Amino acid sequence: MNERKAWITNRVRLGWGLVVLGVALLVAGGILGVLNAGSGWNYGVIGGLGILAAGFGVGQVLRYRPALRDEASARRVVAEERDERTVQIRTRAGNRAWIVSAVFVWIALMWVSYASNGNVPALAGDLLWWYLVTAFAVPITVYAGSIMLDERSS
Amino acid sequence: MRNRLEEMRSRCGWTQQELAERVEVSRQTIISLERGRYNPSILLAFRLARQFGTQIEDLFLYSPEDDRDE
Repeated sequence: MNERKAWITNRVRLGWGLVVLGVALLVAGGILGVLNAGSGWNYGVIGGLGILAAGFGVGQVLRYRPALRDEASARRVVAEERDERTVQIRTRAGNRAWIVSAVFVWIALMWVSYASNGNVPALAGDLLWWYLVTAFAVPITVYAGSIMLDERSS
Repeated sequence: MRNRLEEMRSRCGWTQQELAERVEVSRQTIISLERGRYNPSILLAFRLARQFGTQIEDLFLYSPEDDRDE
């Protein structure tokens, strides 16, 4: 097996590993939910993590498995993944998203500090939920937007 | 940075996809290089020059103005 196929095979294995982990988490979440029905805890969060892992794993398998069929596909997929311009664009996007993410964490830190003195409302309940949604969605949007802009301009 | 990539590729009769496969990059990278929108790493520049059997300086034409574009 050449180096390209070995690299793709590792990606496929990682994908299957994530699928297995995801299914295991999903089952574990279900079993814990049934066994501890009266505990007041919602074990759906474990199942949710399982669905996320399995979904990511299926994506990996679907992306890389067809590339194992022939050498030309393997060469094309590896070239796309390791392409220096693509890597550069993704890295730049990641840096921008990280900065935005760090700003959100810093704002939350300041907010909680002020809230402890009663200067601003406490970051809790719906407010906390919306803040976390925003802090999750904005960096992802920055990441995707940065990739789209750089793909056009470079 | 200006370059003679398109000229040399056409001379060899290769498509952008063929050249991309030869140097193991995406076709989009070859397009960006030919349009002068992307400057390659030194390794890619060497790989490209080797494909055309030439020197980097013959393929990529540096001028001091390029520093201002960075």
